[in-house]
Amino acid sequence: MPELGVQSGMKQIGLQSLAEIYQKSRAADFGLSIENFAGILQEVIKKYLAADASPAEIKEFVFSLRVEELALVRSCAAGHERAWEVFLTRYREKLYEIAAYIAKESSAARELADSLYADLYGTTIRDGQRVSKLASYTGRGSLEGWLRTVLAQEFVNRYRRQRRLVSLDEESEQGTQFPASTPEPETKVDNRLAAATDDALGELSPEDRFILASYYLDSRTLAEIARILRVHESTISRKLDKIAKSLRKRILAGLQQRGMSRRQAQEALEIDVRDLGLNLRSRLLQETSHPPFSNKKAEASAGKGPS
Amino acid sequence: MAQIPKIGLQRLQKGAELQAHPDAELIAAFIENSTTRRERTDILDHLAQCYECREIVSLALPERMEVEKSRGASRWLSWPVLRWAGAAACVVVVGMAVTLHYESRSRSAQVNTQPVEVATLDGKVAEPPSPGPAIDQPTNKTAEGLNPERNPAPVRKKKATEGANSNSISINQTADIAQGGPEPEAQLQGAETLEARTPPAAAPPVNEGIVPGRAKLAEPTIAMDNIAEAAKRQATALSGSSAIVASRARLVPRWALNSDGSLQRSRDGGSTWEIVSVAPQSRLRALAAIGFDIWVGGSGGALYHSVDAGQHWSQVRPVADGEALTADIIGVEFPDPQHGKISTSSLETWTTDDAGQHWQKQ
Repeated sequence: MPELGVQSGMKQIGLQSLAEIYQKSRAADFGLSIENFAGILQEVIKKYLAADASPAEIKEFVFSLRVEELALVRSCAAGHERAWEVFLTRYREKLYEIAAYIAKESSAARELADSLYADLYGTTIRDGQRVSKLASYTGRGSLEGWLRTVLAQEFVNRYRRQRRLVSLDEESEQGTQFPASTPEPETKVDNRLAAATDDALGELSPEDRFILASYYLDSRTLAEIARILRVHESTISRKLDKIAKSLRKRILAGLQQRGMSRRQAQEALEIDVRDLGLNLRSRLLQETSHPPFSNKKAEASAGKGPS
Repeated sequence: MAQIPKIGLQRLQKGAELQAHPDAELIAAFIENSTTRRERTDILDHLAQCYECREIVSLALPERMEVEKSRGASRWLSWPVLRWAGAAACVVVVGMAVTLHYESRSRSAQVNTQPVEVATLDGKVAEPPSPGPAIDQPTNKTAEGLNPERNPAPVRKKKATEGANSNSISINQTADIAQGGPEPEAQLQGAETLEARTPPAAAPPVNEGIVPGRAKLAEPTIAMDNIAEAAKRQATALSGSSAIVASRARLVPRWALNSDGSLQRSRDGGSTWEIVSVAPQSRLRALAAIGFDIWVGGSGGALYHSVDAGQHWSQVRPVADGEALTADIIGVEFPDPQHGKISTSSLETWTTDDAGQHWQKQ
């Protein structure tokens, strides 16, 4: 075994394991040396594992990676022709199929796929080096899954940019008044109610909050949410019912802990239902005057766009 | 369904300050359920607050995705499992009662002539019945085109008899089970009945004569297997119970391949699915299933075969004229247990006429 000069992570998994995984990756077929491959693995380990990860953890992590796809993709990023041939054979058609599924409309799908293809090939030059988006693939998920996600991100970003442009054009055509610079004051919410609700929501698990947001804010179906979480649809239905009931109970308990009587707490929640229902509707009408790109009723997040 | 208070919706939207968006790698790993528990929690926490990332996840979902078996302790108590356990328990109790009744009347009486298996011991392979409306065609699918809804007619393969001839395989057939109809009469040419040849509950028969090697055996992981095997044994002593015949049909599992190349099996008609560990280091891309007999193929020429619905696997290494199959397998077709065809990404076609003992390359 030649001297490899491997870094600490590779030393920990051992040269034998490295050789084994190098062989499994078939990186040699794509012109990737074992040294280069070790460097790629080191980079991935550094990105996802803590500095004090044990050798066993590192080894388990490395063996869980999609190393064959990782080797293929990194070889493509490095410009190896053979790797590109294999990549195109396996994924070019798939890329366009995925784009068609996401964008629905054929010309938009083609444009989306062409745009990503250019990014994958690396039409951007930085410091004299070709920069390929493939260099960011780390083998955590399948390459096909990664391509789907990247395409979805690009689609969402495009729609967001387009919506900003379209909204100005449409508004000027329709003669709609531009929104006032000063937003309308929100209906005053009892601080205790807001605090009790925040506490109750904070006690929910991230999965429960995700289910609530998907169902109530995004209007996704039970089946869609179940697919994302990889459970049966009936599980989501039961969870939603359980969450809704426990949330109300916790808010009432929180209000009572903040000095309200049970009756006051119930009244506060009832008033909230009437007033905030109206307020929410008017806010939704203001902020979502255009259909979202997925044709679902939703309020866009106020956060920055994804990377 | 109970509604949540409107204040809950409003505060849910506001949320805490958004953390950095997860990158495409993590989102893809989340969708494929290959994140750590901590990563999954962090991603869900972000998704609960970020509409755009939720939209990305929704768009990035594969078009066809099977549902894993429900997680958590509740899976053992789920309604389909309880219902199946109840049905199997009833079958066992009724079967024991009838058996005892018959035995008490006459110890030499024949077991009811509605056998569930047909066996030949003459060294010839018994062909499966011609597919009719009640019997689904065997499944021959690539990973992308897989239809997990099929319910192929079960064909059970048993050990070779007095095995000088490696092609001598007695095949026990069950037919017409899908509609719970009557089964064909036994052709008992010296064949043993199922009752006499019932294998142990935990170790279904494996055809050791076919494959050159055996994969690491996997113990059954679900207690239902034992109940199902016990129910099967008792079924032979009963006469004309369509409920039992119908319950046997449900024993034939359904199969699917994930986009990440892992194999999944459903024992309850597709309601729940479980990952079957066959070749952890290979990406499986194609499978063919005929009843309890299943072939899966994947990257690097990985080819595995099971004759007992995935409880035990053997790795098959096709060799023809001194050349081994090493290319990625992208298609597996087995219209019957004996005759099969393998397609590879390098446009090779490998065929077998004897259930994988010998191969020809085209």
